Amino acid sequence: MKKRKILCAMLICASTLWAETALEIIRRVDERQHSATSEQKMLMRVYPSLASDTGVREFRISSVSRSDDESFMVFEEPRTIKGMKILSRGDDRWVHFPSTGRVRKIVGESKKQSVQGVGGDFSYEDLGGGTLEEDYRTRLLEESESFFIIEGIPVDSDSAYSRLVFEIEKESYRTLKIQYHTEKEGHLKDLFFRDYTVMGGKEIARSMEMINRHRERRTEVLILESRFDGPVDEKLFNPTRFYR
Amino acid sequence: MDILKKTGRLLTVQIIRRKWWIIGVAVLLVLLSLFFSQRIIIRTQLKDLLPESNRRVQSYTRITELFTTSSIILSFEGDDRAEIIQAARDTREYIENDPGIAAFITAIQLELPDDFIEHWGLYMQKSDDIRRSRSLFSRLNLLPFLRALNDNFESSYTGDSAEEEILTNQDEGEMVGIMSNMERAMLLLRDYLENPDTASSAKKAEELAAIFAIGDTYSFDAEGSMLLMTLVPSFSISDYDSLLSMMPEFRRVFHEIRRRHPGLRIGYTGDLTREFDEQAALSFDLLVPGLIALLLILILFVFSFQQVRAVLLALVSLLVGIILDVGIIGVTLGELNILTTSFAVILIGLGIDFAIHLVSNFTDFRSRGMPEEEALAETFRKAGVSVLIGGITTAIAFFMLMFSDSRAISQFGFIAGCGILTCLASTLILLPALLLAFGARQQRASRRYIIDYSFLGSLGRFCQKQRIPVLAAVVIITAICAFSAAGNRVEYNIENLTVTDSPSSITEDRIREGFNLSPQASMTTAASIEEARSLSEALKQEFLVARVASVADFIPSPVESRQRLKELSLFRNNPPSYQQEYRYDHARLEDLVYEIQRLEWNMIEIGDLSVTNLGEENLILKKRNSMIREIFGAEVGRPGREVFQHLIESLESEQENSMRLLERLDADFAPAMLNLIRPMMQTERPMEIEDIPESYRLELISPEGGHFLVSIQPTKAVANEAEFMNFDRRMKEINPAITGTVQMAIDWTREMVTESRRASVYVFTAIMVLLLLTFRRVVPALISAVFLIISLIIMFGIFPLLGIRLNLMSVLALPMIIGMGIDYAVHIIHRYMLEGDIGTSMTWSGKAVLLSGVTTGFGFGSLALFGSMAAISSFGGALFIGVMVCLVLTITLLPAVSGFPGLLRRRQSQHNQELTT
Repeated sequence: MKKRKILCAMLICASTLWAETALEIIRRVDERQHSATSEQKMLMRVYPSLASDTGVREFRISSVSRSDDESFMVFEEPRTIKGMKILSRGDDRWVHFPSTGRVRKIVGESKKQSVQGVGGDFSYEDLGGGTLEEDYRTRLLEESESFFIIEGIPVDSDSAYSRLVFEIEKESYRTLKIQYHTEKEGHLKDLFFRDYTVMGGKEIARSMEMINRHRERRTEVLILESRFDGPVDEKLFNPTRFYR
Repeated sequence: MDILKKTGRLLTVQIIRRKWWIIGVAVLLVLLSLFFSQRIIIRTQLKDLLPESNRRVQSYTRITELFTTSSIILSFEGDDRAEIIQAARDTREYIENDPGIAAFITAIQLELPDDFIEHWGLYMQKSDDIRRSRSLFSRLNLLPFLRALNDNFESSYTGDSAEEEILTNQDEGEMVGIMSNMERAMLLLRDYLENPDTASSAKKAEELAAIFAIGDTYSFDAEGSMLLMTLVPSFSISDYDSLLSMMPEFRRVFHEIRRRHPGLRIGYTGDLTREFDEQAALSFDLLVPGLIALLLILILFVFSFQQVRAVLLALVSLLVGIILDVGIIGVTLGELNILTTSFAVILIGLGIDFAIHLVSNFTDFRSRGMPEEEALAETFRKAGVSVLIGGITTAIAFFMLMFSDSRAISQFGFIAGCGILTCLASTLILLPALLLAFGARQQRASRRYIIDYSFLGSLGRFCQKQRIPVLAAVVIITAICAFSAAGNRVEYNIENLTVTDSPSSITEDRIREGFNLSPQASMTTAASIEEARSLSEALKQEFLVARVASVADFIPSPVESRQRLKELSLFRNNPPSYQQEYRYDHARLEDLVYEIQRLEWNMIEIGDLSVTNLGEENLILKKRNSMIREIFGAEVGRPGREVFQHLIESLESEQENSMRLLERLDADFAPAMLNLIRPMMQTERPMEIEDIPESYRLELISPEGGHFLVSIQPTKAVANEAEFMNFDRRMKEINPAITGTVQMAIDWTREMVTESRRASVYVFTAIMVLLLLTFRRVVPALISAVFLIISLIIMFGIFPLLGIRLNLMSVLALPMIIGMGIDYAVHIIHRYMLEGDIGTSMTWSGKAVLLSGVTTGFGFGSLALFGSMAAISSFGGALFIGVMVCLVLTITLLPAVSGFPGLLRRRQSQHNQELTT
């Protein structure tokens, strides 16, 4: 009986230690990537087919983000939608069409949907703010000399994903890859982070590539400029003023 | 070799004694062959060319047995929609009542039948759309309807809680259809306001109501300038007799239709007409390049030989050889395919070689004063053996192809192999008989210019003397070509290999551009409607899929059907209404103007959103730009038709008049809307198979009802090589049973590449064995083998440099060049081993080899230049390059090799004989 109690105590300590390690890693990741505000210029290329460049769509976008779920973006290219602005606040989105001068409140909710279509294989959930610690229950799956492999189960039951798997570089706590899994499709997408560079005082992955394995398409995002934790214009997050 | 010589002597004696008998038998055989040739038909279907065990062929065959997948598509193009529709309706009526063509046509698809729309128009929408339709059609007066329409657009696409996204090609097509309807509605309104007396307001109101309530029941392109009509035949594409009977009737009817509607551009396409066009092209390729090659050969011979009569007799014997082969085809196979229709030109190019050697030697010996019979005997002695060996090696090369699993290649091997033997027999037996019977008795010096081929002797001596530089040059060129050969690519897209300028192809191109569709449809079957639905849904998500058609388009799932019926019952409980005598004052006119402006904004914004999902080249944006204007953010580009602004101008220019006309229109419009919607609301039961319009039922459901067709049309992007292969791969991943032109073309090309390699190994092995038996020494056989390998490397190195891509026909050049190219080397090596002097060998045999190579080049070159099918012309081109490379190496490399003492020494027996003599 006594031996059994000791064994249980050891197991509880070990599991606590294990959970802490995964959590600690995720916290370190959050620390290095979290910012109160960010301003970025990016180039996004959506490849409808992995096999070739047929039908590739290229967008040049400027974006401003603050807190976890507020973002503003404006299209600079292609020419047809130059000046189109999108404001996201929580689950609500507004679009300003420079072609008509109107502001419309667009897609109300679905996180699964591609970012106003533009995001290609990036959904709102993928780009959403929030910390990994808050959004996922984590567990360390594997540890090698160079990497941590961490599983994250979304806390939100409405999440489009059943689990995520993070590949994190040990030395620097850079995220190198995220696998996205769903109940229906299984291993659905891979997000690769490449070319880590210091921009705006923060080290970020200059290049990201999301590959949709199910639909055999991919989206590339190249960060051209970046600034973090600077002051942002309040007007940009006001639905009645963001387009002026 | 002794056996061959004895046979040659025996043959000479018999020919001399029985020349007239030989000629008589030849005439008889020719007549018989021409009789049997009438049985030959030309087949161009891919499925006939692949092995029957091919899974996709099996799937395709099963589908064509169950469904009428063939069709003829008529396209009507013009500027006036009404005129286009009228022409199509006239055509339908004409075809249905013409006894000549009606028997071949089961159904005509032009528009969805009115009675079908009346019963099922609303039911065919998704339950969400029916729910939106309830609010859309709640108030049917024009102004409230337009307001509801705008609300609907904004809730669906551009406004509060918008639910829809334009993600797939099908979504794109549907939105273009909606925008086209809006354009038609605006144009109709404007026409009514500006020309109120051209038609009654009731008629205009009915037309307007039909646009809003039903939409477009015709298959127009995005611009509304091309309409398609499909004729469903009563026979399958495999029924050649019916096809051959139908086409003349169809052509007659088609010409009559064009005569009746001169203001429109009317075209036809579809797999039936394509099949017919390809047959016509192949018939052309069977005859015309051959005739051109014969003419060129005749001209060359006239300037190469003193005796014109001998030349003509040589051509006669060649023709006899080819006709005998045609007779063999008629008796045995009874058919030709895309590969074997080129046999005549190949035989002209190859078969003439035998006659060249014979005539060349015979006329040379005659020119030295030898009597005919002695000249003939000497010809057989000096050239007969090499002609026979050359012919047999070439025939073996072709017969080896018969071991292929591909019926097409196997048939080609049989036909070409038999043809070589018939031409050989004709040359060795009939030609000497003809020369003895009809040849010139006396040698007269000709005043005509005769090409002097003695330069070949000089060239041979030069190359022998400069053997090191010549060999070095060959090595360097071979190395460069070996490197270049790695860049060879295979063309899989069958569209790039067929006829491109036939009426079917031209119409196909126009449809491709107008509808963003590739004509290369794929298909599969499902065992249930649910399976068809599941497949369709998966396929519609694909980037390369433009359209999917299946029974699931008509019959929803049971759950969805219940929801739709529920929405319809809610509709019945809260039916549409309208206000009688709806008055238009200035305020309402202003409101109407505002709603039209709002509608324009919605169209503009939908266009903007389409760019985010589909890119700037999408059809929605193009439609928007053409019907409104080109817009770049806040800037304006090229003007469009400004359908909304022009209507607004018309409304505002004479406001009093506009108000009065609107009242009159509204009085008929609202009741017309109700008349259209009320029957559609009455649907109380799910749609069943019997409710589907007959023409669609025949197309999508097997006669016994157990199989359901899923038809897939890719976008025009599959014209790109990478996307072509990607389409095949994606279809295979979704359902391995999906079959069609794309899939079979890829399989066939892969098959041909594999078979070509395999046949090459067989041919090469067989030829090496034969050469060892012939030369009875390893070194000459080895030299021949090296010569061949170098020729092939250079040939395949040239292709990428000239931008030539290998395809399902040109890959066959490999085994054929192995079989043909070796001939030239054999002649020179054999002659050199007899004569011991390269100058003499090149002078006497070189002339024959050069003429042989050039005439073969004429044959293949005429295919390359005049072949109407790209596959045939590429086949000719590849062979032409191969033959020319072999020829050049024969007259340069072999003399250089002969410069190394001991390599090609004279035969000991020959040498001893000369010593004793």
